[in-house]
Amino acid sequence: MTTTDAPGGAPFTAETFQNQYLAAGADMVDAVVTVTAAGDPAAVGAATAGAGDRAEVIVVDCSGSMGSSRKMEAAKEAAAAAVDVLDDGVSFAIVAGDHEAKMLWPVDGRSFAIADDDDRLSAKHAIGQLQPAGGTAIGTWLDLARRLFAAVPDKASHAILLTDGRNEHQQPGELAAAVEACRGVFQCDCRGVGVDWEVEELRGIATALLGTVDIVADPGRLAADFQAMIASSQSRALPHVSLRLWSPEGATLEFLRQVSPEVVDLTATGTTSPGVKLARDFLLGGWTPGESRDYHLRIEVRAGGVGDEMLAGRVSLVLADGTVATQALVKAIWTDDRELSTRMDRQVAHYTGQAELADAIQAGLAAAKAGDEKTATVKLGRAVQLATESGHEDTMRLLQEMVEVDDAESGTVRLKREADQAAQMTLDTRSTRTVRLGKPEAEQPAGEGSGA
Amino acid sequence: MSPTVTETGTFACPSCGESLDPSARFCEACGEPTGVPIVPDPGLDDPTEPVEIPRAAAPGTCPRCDAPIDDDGYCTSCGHKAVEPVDVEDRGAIAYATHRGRRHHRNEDSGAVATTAEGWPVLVVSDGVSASPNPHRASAAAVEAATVALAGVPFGGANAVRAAVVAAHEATVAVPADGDPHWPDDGTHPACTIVVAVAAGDRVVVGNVGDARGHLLGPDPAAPSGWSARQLTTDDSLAAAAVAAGADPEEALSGPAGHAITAWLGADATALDPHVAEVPAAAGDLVLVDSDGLWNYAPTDAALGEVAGRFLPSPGEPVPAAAVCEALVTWAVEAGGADNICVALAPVAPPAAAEPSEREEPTP
Repeated sequence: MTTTDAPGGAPFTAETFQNQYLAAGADMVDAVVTVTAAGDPAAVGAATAGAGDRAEVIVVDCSGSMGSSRKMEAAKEAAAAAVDVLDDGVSFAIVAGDHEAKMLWPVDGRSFAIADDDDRLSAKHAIGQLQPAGGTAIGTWLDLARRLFAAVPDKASHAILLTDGRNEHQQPGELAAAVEACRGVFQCDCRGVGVDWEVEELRGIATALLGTVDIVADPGRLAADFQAMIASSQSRALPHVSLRLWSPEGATLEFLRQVSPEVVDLTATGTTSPGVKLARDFLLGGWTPGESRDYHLRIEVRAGGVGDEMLAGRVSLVLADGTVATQALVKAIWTDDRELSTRMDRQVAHYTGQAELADAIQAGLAAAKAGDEKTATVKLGRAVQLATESGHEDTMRLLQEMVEVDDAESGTVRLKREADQAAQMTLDTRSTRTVRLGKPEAEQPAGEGSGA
Repeated sequence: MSPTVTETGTFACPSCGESLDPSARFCEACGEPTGVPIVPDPGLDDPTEPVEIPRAAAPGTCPRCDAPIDDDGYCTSCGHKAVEPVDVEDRGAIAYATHRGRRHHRNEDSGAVATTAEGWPVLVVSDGVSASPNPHRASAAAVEAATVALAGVPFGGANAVRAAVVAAHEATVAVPADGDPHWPDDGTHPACTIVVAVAAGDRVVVGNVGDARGHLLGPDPAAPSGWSARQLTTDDSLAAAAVAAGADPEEALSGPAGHAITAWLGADATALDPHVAEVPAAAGDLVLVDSDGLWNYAPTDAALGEVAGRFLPSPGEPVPAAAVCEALVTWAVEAGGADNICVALAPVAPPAAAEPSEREEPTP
């Protein structure tokens, strides 16, 4: 374990958990890096975002299908509730989406309204006029949001996207291109209402745009969820943070994934760091004071000789203005002492298990959907086993909606014949959420021996 | 004949083709000799050839790829940790030098030099046992205790050396077993070996436990380098026991348990029975004490005399002790650096040789 945070207080601290020791010839270095934002970043001199530095776009699906099951009414209430909790001074806009995207507010030629009592009232009035009609072309909604945010590049930009259906009125490639264009421009939390939307589709958008994805099966819960998303966005005092990873000449990044609070694979999102050789930057988006996230990285290096010590990775947190806030070192030391090289770090073992848990759930549900009951039973059984080992109670509860558990420890399960569609989508959507490792003192299995 | 070393750092056995470590002198598969010299240095075959001692790269650059070294001590290109310089203690005529070598991740050897009240050099080297917790702390504690026992007080001869070893043992016993991140809390205790030597004018008194060695180096017109070496200590090792029973010394050392020690300092030690030897010496002779990180590459008197002679001036000229110690350590690192290395060197007649009248008579 290495800590390299500044003693006097820094906007971020970073800590490495790894077994630095490799056997002769070994070339794979695993580490978990925990990054924590300061409780009060302004107090330690970091530039933070106030209300005037923020822009919010709320995108509401108003396609024809929203007319059923009270969804449109709930969406209107939720959008209005979100507008109510916008801080004074925040730039905001409301977009209505069907087979195309329409500005709902402001409609007076401005890109953004500035939250005050008058604008909030006008926006809510516009929201009240929404009528469900037309199709679903999510890519066009994202395009409009991107054009709006592009006008305010210095602001911390955040969107909420609500839909109840699939992207039916666009080619898949069009949506993918729209998502790519938005990457790095704004963060986007996605919500699916009802059970007719695609988990994989929304997860793809949320992952690329550094946001969350969730199901709101009960439209009555939408308003509270919207307010929570706005509150969370407004608490992100540290905008535009990147993780910079330096690794030596000849090294290959096998993966870099956020593993807590949920699994997000960042590997492919890296871009060349400006002015730093052998380094890549990975956008992390905004951070809330006191927030802590864990990253698991695996680097293949050129194996050194026994006794050699190598810096396999240097993880830095880079602020919006390019300042390096903190760094953590990932090392490799080759030894012929098997006592040292065969140990597995508890954090690395735990998060390897958590990532496998997410994969097992998604593969199990996909197999069940495709009618392959054998694979579904095996995968969901493995998921039950992993959730039990790591004490992941939330996921365990969701899994029990899908399967009858005969023996959790061995992962022996039977598929339920009539699993609820909403429960299945909830499990799929939340499959990437992880739990953190308990204290070593606690008698906890910690996912060890669950190597993927 | 030197077997060809491949790019992967191994070479093929000339008899059966088995892939072997370049330092292997016998094939693990067929048992045939590989032709690797006991001192794996190509210069050894021709003592007249000047030996090139590789020096550390220019400060701030990486010896592997010439790229700058970062603030944390790693190369900004290949990521390798910059090789730390040899640690040298220079006391003029007396000196010691130490390095972690190439294969151990920390230096568990310790050394010290001092003088008695008479001005006679005291040399101490200790090697922490890697198969024990906190070996670096064990060796440091042992060296300090032995040095304190002898430094600045009138020399008490063989009994004083024995007492210094006992003090070192007691200090080792006091080192805690916990807190070593590289060792599980498995009930073993910190342990180390030790060698203590005092160059007391016309004689050398040396004591040891384990396999750290003391040598007397003397001018020898018959030796190619002008110097010959004589081991004064007795190793507490399985190899030494095998040799005592009639085995060939080289074969005994090359066996799988050749380096296993049979006695050490620390709470796990059985009856403490230091070897103490007292030998006559002449002005111009030198005392060298060293851990097995050095003598592994020169295990016989002939080999050690040969190697030391490379770095010593001609007999009779002033000996730059610190430079010689550093050169010997660097040589062992370059020869493979399989273990931590610590060596200490002093002349038998110190420059400010004590007047005989000031000498304390040794207690028998």
